[in-house]
Amino acid sequence: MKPARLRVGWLLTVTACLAHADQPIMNEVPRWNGGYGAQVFQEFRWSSDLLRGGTAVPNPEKLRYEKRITHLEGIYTWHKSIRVTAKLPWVQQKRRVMDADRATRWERSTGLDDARLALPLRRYVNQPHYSGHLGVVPQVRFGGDDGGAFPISDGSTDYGFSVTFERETSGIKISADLSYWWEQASGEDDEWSIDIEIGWNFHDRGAINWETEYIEESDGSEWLGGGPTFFWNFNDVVLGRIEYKFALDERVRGTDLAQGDALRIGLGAVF
Amino acid sequence: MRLVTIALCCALAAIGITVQAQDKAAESAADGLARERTTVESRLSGQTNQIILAVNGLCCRSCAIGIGKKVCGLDFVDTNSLPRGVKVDRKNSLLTVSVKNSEMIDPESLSQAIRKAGYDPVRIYQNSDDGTLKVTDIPAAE
Repeated sequence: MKPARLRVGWLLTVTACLAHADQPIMNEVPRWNGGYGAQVFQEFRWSSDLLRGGTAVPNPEKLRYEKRITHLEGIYTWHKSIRVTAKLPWVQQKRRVMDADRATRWERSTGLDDARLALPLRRYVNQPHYSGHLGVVPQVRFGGDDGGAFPISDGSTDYGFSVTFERETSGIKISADLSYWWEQASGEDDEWSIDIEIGWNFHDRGAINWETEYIEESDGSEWLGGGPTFFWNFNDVVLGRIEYKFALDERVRGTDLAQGDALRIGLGAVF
Repeated sequence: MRLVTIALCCALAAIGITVQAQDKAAESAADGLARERTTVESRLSGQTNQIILAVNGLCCRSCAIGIGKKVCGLDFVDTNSLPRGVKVDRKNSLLTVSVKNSEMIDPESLSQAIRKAGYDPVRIYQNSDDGTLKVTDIPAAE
């Protein structure tokens, strides 16, 4: 039987977007009226695990992908209940693919992934020993560069909507985010995700969170993953974070590379 | 569906554990107020250049940043003795403000500044001239 060329490009384009389903960019800052901020993330993502549906299959050709994404993100807060956020990801990626004659080669592409605008609207509750909010977030993402052989973006403008919940005491924080994206490109599938985060504020300037995320697309592909995030406020302006995420379970359409692990390192500034 | 079930179970377990932990830490309003007063009395003992506010919601890790930005610009705040003139006690939801002169304090502008930072002030504690603790309730914002 002649092996079909593995359809890795489609999956990697979509899952790269899914990996950033979370819309808060600096958690609770800037919460003050007129506050604004920006942050830069460097994300490294890679995998050489081949899946057929939800089952791992041998990968003798050593197919793999590597992706480096530089995220530039900004936020402006009019009032704690009304903010706007913007995200711009720049992608450098490569993958090792196999042709019908079983020959392998590397494909590379560089360009802008989908830019995103979001309008987090929150209703806060401030009580003696906790603070929390319920919120809704209308979102839009604008199509980025095509990327050629290794696609980056499908080029369509898509619309999303999230419902968010958060509650924080001096020691513990929990947040949840339920999101849905309506894909406008033909042949692409809608997606929804749920994101649960539990954090421990171990210091006035630091916190460790555990994030668990589940993403499902209309075509049946699923991803359940999680990992720790470490936050540190260097001072009242500069904030840092390091995040590692790995798949706990994953299912792909057909045969494809797994989404794999991701490491994100970021620095932000608020004013 | 297996993954959905796992994810939802994790989510429910996490929410349950966290809410339970928070509820255990909670106490009755009367007990909380008494404990707050005791804490404030010990901190303000002999202090005439500091006031303490009970502020709802003042428990997040980054709240001191916004509070400092909004409060430090007030005329009566002394930014020399504390960083930006404020100190946040997240565990007790208390805000200490260093003031130049206790007679200059403007509770209204102080409350507005704290609200602009995203929190709700409820009481101001300060030592009066005769050394007793004066408590002023702050009306909720409309």
